[in-house]
Amino acid sequence: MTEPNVSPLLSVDDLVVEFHTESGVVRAVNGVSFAIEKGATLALIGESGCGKSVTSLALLNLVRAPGKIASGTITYTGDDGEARLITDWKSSSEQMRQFRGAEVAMIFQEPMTSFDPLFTIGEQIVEMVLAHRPKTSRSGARDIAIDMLGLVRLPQPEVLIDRYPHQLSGGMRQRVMIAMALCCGPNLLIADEPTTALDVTTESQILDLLRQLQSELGMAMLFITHDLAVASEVADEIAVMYLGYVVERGAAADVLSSPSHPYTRALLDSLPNIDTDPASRLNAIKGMVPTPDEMPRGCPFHTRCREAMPGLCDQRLPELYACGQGHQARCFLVDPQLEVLRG
Amino acid sequence: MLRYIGKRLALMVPTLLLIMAVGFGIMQLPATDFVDQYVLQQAAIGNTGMMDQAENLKTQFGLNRPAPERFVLWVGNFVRGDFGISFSDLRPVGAVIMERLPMTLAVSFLAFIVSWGVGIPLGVYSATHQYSAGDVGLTIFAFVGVGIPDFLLAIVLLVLAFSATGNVFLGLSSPEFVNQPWTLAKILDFLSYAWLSVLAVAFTGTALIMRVTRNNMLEELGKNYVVTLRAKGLPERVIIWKHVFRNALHPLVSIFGQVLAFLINGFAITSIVLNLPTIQTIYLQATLRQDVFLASTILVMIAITVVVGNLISDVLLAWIDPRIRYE
Repeated sequence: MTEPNVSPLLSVDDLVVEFHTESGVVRAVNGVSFAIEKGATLALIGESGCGKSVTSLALLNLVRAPGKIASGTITYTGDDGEARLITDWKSSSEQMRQFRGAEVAMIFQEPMTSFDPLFTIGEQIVEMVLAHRPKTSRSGARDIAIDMLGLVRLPQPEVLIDRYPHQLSGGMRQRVMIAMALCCGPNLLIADEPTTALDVTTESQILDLLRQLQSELGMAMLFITHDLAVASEVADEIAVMYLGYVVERGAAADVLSSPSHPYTRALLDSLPNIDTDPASRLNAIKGMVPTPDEMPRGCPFHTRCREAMPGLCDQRLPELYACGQGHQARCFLVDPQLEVLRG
Repeated sequence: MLRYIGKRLALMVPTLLLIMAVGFGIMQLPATDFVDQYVLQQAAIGNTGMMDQAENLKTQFGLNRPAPERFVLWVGNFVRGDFGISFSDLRPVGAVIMERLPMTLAVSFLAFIVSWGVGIPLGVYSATHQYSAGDVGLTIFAFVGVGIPDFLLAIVLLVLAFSATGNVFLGLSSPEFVNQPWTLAKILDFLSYAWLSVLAVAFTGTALIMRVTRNNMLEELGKNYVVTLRAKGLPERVIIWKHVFRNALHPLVSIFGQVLAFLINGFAITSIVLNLPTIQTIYLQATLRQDVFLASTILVMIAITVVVGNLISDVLLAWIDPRIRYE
């Protein structure tokens, strides 16, 4: 789909995000690397607290104190083909402000609380257009806003534009959120659990809409979710995160059909299946996610792993080993040197 | 909206009548009345002749009629603009109050302007620079300001000003300007006295407004919509003042409902300590002396400002917040 010599739209290398709390430094994101090609969709999946939302905020340099990007690079290559190192920009810089929303836009989980309740949705879209295109007139920005509301298939955009967020339903709000995010023509849309707060019917409508818009506008998407079914519907590639580490990544079909990390397997096993005996218990992953300040030594998952190898997994952190074409897993079980390690 | 305001205004009538009844009633509770007190006072300084005139005085003041009758009479005159006379200086209550109203408003208005004008920007700064050296300094100032009562601060300032200049800044004007018309010289003279009480009152007020502003700004800054605003690429200035500050206004507007009452009856103890010629000082005196009409009229004034102030703040809230407006 992409030519090999074209650099990806966004590439993240060895990103580390730390939170300096009273009880010490907590690493929420621990050496995460991934790349998003133009027009493609990467799904970042994992449980609550695995660092996927923090990663997405880091892409816009929006991690707030006491958190900060401790090391690693984020490189963005826009339409002009010039590679820009976002991690070099200060969070409060004018460059960074112009980048946010115009090149990379973001939509959020809670469409109710993500709007300022005191302004009409029209005003909230208009102010964004004006922030990035100061030469546009107010009425011109309003026309853009109406067009965008139409683009996300909202009925009567001329009427809706003067409504306040609380007057809309959850699904409508999320559509407005999408319209707002797209109003400055971003190349990448970060969708942080955009359907989690919605009911199932609305969820599938929003997913359909996002896919349609993606093919119409040719933008890339970083889709953050804890829902494997959603990920399988939208993603070209999947990266599975656990406790701040990417534990497995690869093409969506490969990761879901032949999961190589025990965590990914356990996640897939824990999904209820229509064919299993209704009386059987759900295959939950044993134990709890450790709190970030009691990060396990060695592989982050060994405390809950069914296949953990004592003396190995609790001692050393496995690297990402190749386990197929473009498919990698952070587990000694796929390490070609496994027999040597076991002795 | 207009219907709502009309309804609230109509509701004010029974509310005020009730307040008048309670206020008037409380003044009748002591076994003595103004004349008894006055006669005893005169007797204490050797003027026993007053004893014979007590009945006479009571008749003149109407104090020998039953209380309900006096109340009805007072309310009847009140709505026609006749508030009765002040027993202690035998002038109409309206004149006594009007004499003191300008000074009272001048001091309290200055204190209000300073408290809000300084407190709000400092509170916003404090919240947007949380845990910075500036924020820590302002937080300490706020705790001191909220902790020290304004009248105590007024006494400290009085002593300091005395040891620095040798002047005693009691009252609000030099003797030569008392009862003079307002000229530039008189205004300057007024300010040379008023700064002390304004400073003392505004110190506490600023601290309070700053704390309220800071807390609400911090609460709003933690909300999801702020992340959205930042992700949209809006300038920080717009995020803070257009969005976060407006959302943080709620409790300030609620406090604003009490500002009208503050203008007339704030800092009572400071007024008394500094012997300011304000309404607060005569209100206390009138209450102690059972100067019924004067005390009750001031009480009604305060009640009106509270009720109207709350109405204003409710209307302001609806104006700011569409969620309230559309209910």
